[in-house]
Parts: sequence; structure tokens; C-alpha cells
Amino acid sequence: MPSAPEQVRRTAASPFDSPTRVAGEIQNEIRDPHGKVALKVSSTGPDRTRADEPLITRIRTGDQEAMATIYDRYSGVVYSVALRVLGNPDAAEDVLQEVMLQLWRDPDAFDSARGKLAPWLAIIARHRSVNYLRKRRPTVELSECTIASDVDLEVETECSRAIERARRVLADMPETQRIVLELAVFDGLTDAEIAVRTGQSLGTIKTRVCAALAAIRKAVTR
Amino acid sequence: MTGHERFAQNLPLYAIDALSVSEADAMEVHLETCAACRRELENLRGDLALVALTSEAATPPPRSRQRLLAAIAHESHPVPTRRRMGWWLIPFAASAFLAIFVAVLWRDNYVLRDRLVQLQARIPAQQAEIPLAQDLLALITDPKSVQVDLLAANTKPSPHGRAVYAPRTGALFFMASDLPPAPPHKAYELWLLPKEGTPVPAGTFQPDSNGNATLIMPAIPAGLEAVKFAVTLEPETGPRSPTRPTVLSGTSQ
Repeated sequence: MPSAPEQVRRTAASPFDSPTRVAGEIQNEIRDPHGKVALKVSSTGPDRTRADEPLITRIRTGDQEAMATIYDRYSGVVYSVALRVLGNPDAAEDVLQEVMLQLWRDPDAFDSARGKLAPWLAIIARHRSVNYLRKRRPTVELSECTIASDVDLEVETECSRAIERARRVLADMPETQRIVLELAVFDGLTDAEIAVRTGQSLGTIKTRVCAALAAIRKAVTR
Repeated sequence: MTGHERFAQNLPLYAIDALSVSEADAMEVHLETCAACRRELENLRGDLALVALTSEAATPPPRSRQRLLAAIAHESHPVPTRRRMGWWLIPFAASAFLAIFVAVLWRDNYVLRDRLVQLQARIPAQQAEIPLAQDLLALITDPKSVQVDLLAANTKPSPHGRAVYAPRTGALFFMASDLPPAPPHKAYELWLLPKEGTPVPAGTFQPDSNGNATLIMPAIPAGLEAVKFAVTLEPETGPRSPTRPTVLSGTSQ
């Protein structure tokens, strides 16, 4: 499983904590079973929403400041996901540049009516990173990616709670199930490749992926 | 297991790009027609986003921000892109298309109805003309009808004919009189001579014992502008091209 090298600077504990907002905003920390900081929750307001749509509108007109704000807000999300998949800071930075430039060039690809920007960028970053691993071109267009969730991932506290619950579900999950999910999501293996790697049948892999995702959905929507 | 159930079971693997290329292609075909699977795929992407967001937080190096800002400054404005039609637009596009289609059908229907009314209004007059036309045709074609050509006094009868031709429709009526019998294995043939091009045959005929003959509505191409008409003697069978001498000829008025 790829992991970020030690030289990677980790000033933000949640992918949502951007470099420009971390100082002075952090109030609560959530630590994983090993005592490592896993999540920090912003204290600037429990329901402060990120008004992304006006920024996207400004990007459409070529507003570079708006793009810089989007970068400050979400570069951590994209970089963290890319680094988790690729395990290489330089490659993760390349994916970050690629995803942000795509958004700059085609802001209409993101439609706020079809999902929030944070999960959308996380999905795109993960997809680009997996394809980077597979050394193939992206197969999903930005504008084709519609995301639905019962969790309002645009509200920081709600999103942070959902991420923390998802982490607990993954931590409590049987190891064989978690490994299958992580091989698929973060290592970019196909079901057949996972079957070869783990010695499990395709049917078992399918069942475990379904059950893992269902458990996460159940945990965050309860 | 139905086809839909099989696709539905594979949806989580598709959402995380874990299907083979061929299975993913088949899934995309299914998704085009299955709204339930499209909705579930959106939910699965929401689940996948949460899994991705569990990644340990990391901060990109500061140079990355400068790199992006330099790149977008170089591209002073976003490249205008034509937005692709998403699935969610399909019902609206289909509704708009149907509305236009229905409007066109309604207009065509209105025009056709109007034309039908006009045609129906003409039916009584045309029906009244039918008996007269039938009587006229019977009169002309009946071999027992007496045909008399009135000429100037003391003029010897000689072969002559009269053609009535409508170029727009190709309708033709031809009547000849005082023709001598055609030689053995030969027949008279009427020709239409266009301004340019080769003569067009309008049919062969044999005069009756009184030297009279008629040609009614032979097959003539519509739109043929004939400047001259001619009758020649031709072999009863064989290639169609006029041979001299010309028995009768006349120029279109």
C-alpha cells in the first residue's frame, strides 16, 4: 500500500484544511487509534458553508483570484487523495496541477446542481491518480461525474463528522474486507487483479466491495 | 438473474473503476437506458468520495500554488468549451424535440386538411364531368363513329392529323384521317421532336379501313417541350428512330 513519505509536510489534518486557513481556525482534533492527528475541525462556525458556486461563476469570466481561492480551499483535498493513491509527492503535485487546470479551463464541467465541489474534486483526483498508476488516459470526463450524498459535504462540520465516521467504519471493518476496498480504491486494481493478489474469487471481491461501501453509507447517514 | 440485476451488482465495481474495460463498456451502454442504475451510481460515487476523503491530510508544497497561478496567468482566460449534454438534460432535450415534432406534425396536418377540403370541394364538379368525358372518349374511339373532314369545295382529301399535347403533364391526344394502309410489317409512328435532342416516340398505330387512327394518352415523359410533331412509317418491331420520308408533320404553335 503506498504511503506518503516522511518529508511530506502535514500542517493540515483533514484534506479540507487548506494551508491558508489552518492557522487560528483549528479548535478540535480527532486522533486515530495510534494517537496520530487524523482530523481537525474548523471553529469558524459549525454550519459555515463554502460558497463555491460564485467562485465558479467568476472563474468562467477568467477571474484568477477566484481560482486562487478555490486552490486554497481544495488543494489539500486533491493533493491528499492523489498522495494516498500515488505515494509520491511529485506525482501527487502533478495530479493536483492537472485537476486544477482542468477546472480553470472548463469550469462548466462542475455543476453545483449535481454535487458538491469537495467530493467531486476528490473523485476526480482519485480517478486521475489511478489512471496515472495505470499509465492510461482518464476514462471519465469531468462533466460526466455526478455525485449524490445524503451528507452535505459542503458544510465543514457535517463533512468532517462524515469523514470521521467513514474512518471508524474502515477501522472496524474485517481486515480482508478493508484490504479489498483499499486495493480497489487506492491501488487502482481491477476485480481480476485483486482476485490474483488476494486469492479470493471474483464473486467474493464484488460482495466485499458492495458491503464495504454500504457500511460507509449506512454509518454516515444514520 | 436479469440483465439489470447483473449490472446493478457490478455498479460498485464500476463506480471505483474496478471492472474490466469490456465490462465497463457494457455497463455504460446499460446506464444510458437505466435511470435507477444512474441514480445508484451517483450515490456510490458519494460513498467513494467519502472513502477518498479519509486519506490522511497532506499539504501540497507552496511552489504548487505559484505553479498553478503562473499557468493560469499564461492562459489569461479559460478556454471556452461547449458544455456537453448531461444525462439530466436528456428529458428536457427530448421534450423540446417532441414539442417541435408535434408542432411540425400539427402544421402538416393543418395543411393537408386544408388541401383535402379543397379537393373534396372539386369532387362534385369532376364527377359531373366524368360522364361527358367518357362519352367523348367513346365517340372518338368507336370504330362505328362516322368521322367527316370538311374541306374547301373541290379539294381532294389527303392524309392529315391533329395532335393535342400538354407538355406539363405529358398528356397527348392524336387523331389522323385519310391515311392509306401501312405496307406489310410496317406501322405509322408518331414522334415528338424537342428543341434539342433526339425525337421521342409516342406510339405506333394502324389506320382503320376508312383511313382514320387515334392515339390516346401514350406514355410521354412529363415536361417534354415538343416543337414539332411528325408521323413516319416504321417497322412494326425493331429500334425506335424515325426514318424518312415523313408522312405528316406539324410545328407546335
